[in-house]
Amino acid sequence: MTYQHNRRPSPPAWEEWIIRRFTWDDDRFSLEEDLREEYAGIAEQKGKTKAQLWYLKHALRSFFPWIRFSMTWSLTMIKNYFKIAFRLIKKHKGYTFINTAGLVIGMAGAILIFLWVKDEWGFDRFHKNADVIYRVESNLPVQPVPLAPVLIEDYPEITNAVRIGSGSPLIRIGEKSFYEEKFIYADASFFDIFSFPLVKGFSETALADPYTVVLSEKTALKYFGAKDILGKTLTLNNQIDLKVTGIAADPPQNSTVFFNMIASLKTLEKAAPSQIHWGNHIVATYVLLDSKASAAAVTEKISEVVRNRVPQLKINKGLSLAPLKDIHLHAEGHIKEVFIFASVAVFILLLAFINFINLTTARSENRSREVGLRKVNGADRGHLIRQFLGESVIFSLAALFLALFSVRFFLPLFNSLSGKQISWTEAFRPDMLLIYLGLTIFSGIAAGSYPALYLSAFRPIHVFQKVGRTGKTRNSALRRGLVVFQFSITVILVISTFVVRHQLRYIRAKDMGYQKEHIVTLPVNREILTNRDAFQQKLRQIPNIQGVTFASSKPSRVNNKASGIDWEGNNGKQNVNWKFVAADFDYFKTMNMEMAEGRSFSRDIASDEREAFIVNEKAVEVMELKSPVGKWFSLWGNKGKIIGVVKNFHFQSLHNPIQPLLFFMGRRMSSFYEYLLARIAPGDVKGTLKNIEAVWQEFSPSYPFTYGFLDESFDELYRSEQQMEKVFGVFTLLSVFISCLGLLGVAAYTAELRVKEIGIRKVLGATAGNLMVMMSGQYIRWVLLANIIAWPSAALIMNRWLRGFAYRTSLSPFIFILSSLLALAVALLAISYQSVKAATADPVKSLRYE
Amino acid sequence: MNIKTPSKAEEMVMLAIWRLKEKAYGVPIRRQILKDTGLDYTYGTLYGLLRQMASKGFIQKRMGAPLPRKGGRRRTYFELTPAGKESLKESIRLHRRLWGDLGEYSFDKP
Repeated sequence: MTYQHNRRPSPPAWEEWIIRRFTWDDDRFSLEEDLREEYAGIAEQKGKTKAQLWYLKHALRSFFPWIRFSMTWSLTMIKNYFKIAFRLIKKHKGYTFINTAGLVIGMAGAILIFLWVKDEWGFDRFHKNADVIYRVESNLPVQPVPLAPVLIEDYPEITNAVRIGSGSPLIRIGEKSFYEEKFIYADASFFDIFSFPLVKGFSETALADPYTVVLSEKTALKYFGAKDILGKTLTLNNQIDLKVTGIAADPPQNSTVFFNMIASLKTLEKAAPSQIHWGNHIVATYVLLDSKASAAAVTEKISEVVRNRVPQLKINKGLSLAPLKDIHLHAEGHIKEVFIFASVAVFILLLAFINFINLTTARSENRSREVGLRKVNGADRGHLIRQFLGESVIFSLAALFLALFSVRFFLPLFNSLSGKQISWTEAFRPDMLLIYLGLTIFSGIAAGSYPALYLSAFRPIHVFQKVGRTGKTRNSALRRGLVVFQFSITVILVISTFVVRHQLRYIRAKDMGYQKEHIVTLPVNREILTNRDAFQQKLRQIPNIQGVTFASSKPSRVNNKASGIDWEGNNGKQNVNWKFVAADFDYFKTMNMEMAEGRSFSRDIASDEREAFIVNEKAVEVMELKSPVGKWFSLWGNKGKIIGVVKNFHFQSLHNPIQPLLFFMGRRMSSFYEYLLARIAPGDVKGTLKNIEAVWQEFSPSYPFTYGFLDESFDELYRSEQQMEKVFGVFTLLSVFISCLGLLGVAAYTAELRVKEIGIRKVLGATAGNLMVMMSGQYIRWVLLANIIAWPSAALIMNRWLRGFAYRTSLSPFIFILSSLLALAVALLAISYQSVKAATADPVKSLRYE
Repeated sequence: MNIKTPSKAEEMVMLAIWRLKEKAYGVPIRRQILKDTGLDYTYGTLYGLLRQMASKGFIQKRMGAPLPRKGGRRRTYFELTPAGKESLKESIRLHRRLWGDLGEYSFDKP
């Protein structure tokens, strides 16, 4: 062993570092010295390795006393922090209230929207196979019945498939009969592909046989009053008896595939064999892909399957696969709403944070002495940052607690506003609570970090010298910026709300090209249709009825599409497919639609029932015909003549531009007719409905009398916009409120700061009016600046939103001016209390020295 | 009783300091305790105790001269305060009062 007298062996640096790190200041040097001495001794006697081990042992064991020591002291300090925090809360009740209220409202709002977004986002994602379920699509979302077996048979990548047909048939259970809107037909594979668990019955066999039906729990309870009803029967359309073979758990609301009752698809095949052929697109077809297969590759393979079987239909689009997960969000365009609402949530939280930051820094003056004193007594910056961050985190935790209470309280209201059915047990699931908690701690740190950094930077010497106000200019510039930002967001939200309202009002007031008021719609059935002329005749005798007709769909929403269209002079246009309406006599008269050319269907001309077509102006444009009336036209190989052209009217929601539309009479195949449309005179609506019901009972006693009004179904087209309008309105109100709270707090503080200045001005002769103008002036400037920022952003955003409508209002400058005036008025109102108080205060009190 | 009695551990440290007189700094104190009682304290524990006793007023610190070595630091020496000595006296008195005529063999008698 080599040992040199002049160089004592010393412990490795990293071990010394441990010691240095974990010993407290006073004793550190002598402790280190002692350790070195012993280290040297041991190294000399037993070797370096032994010495190092010994040193390490001591180094590590010095750790525990350190922990105990620091815990004791931090506990003591935490107690002190709490004490100070509670004193401040007690002392400044108003400020505490404003600050908390802002945070609580912001958090509650954000949580509600978060729940909404989560619900939308989770659409169809609850299925175990969600990643590999695809819907087969062409130009239609529904496919012919024979398609699915062919797909499974011929393409190994497709491991399973389910066909889902829908209808709203008449159901009779015992004495009760009703139309079931959520009625579907499905293959036995339904329960394999989708994750809808069965409560009773066996998922393998429940839908395997014809004439079987599975009910959702709720439906079973509603109509049978019990869940134990396997083997009972219900009657479909007064024709077939279905046996209950299973009870399914209620499907979640955020599911594209939704049902109250599921009958086996074999029922449909047996009951309506004429519907089962390649030319009839009636079932939504979902396939399960092998997890290794790529949807694009499979799409390429299956593209021509249907077209090859029925080339005469001239379907203009091959088959493709749409992922189930994307149907709601992307294909149906709900991602836009999700995005809009998520931004609103973020904005509201941001507003609340800004309030918090503003109010906390604004009041920092009050705490500068505390900071100074703590520093003098040995606190370093880290301690202070920890203290203030801790305070804001605890503050936001308290706010979260209150926010959760409000969420619990307001959830039903929110549900009715947004049309969701979010239960509070779902909202308060443990994992959700964990998310809220994480969010809260994050927000506490985010909102608290600026005040913490700002406050902890105070220098004791400046604080106690009282040279001017600590860092006032820097601080107030930031505060001004934040208030301006806050109001910009608020003004943007207000403008958006007005634009949405304006657009919806525009839609409601827009001339649809027909008169949608006072039209009663009745779903019709076989009994009615077999006696259709007598039924119509009877109805016409009711004095208040001005017109009666049958049609395949309501004019507000025409969804039937026909391909296989040809006409005289068609210069090579293939694959044309248009929406169509099968209409009866008097259709155009009843709806008050105007003919542009030619005539409508006539009872006097026998060939009209088979060979007459009416098109709209758009169709004429597409066909490029000069004088369309009299030209031949064919649909599905049936040749006829165009007898008239109807003026364009809106038969879809205003999101879409007007497309070509085709009318023919549904008489030769009266199953085309779905609705009876009757125009009634305004006035005694109730009496008229009674009369209609009496006629109904006479012709169709076994079907219940149900009716609707056209303008109601018209509103349904814009339900999501209407919900958006409501939700938007509420949250805009909230954000205005939060911003005002913030302004109120800052104004209160500024008034307090300037109390002496105001006193001196008063003594020198300023009137209360002068002072109020002076006090309010700066805020007005802020709000105006905020408006300048908000206008272009709002215009940009709302322009994008409006582009989703083919028919839209323009962004009227009036909306912008109105929103700005509103923001200004509300801001003035918020600060008026403070400025009036300051301006009318007695200068003697403010100027008195101590 | 006015005078605070030391805890067992404190008593051991104080006695070690007393025995070491002016040579009482960290290393010898630890060795003394090891020799007298067989307890192998770490420096962490030892300094914790010393600190605690200093705050109670039993002992006080004295800074020694810088060590005669390059970069040598001052050593911290410890010595008993009057209060410390008084507490030791009280401790042994208490001990005697408690034990009286009892000895370690007393417990072996029936």
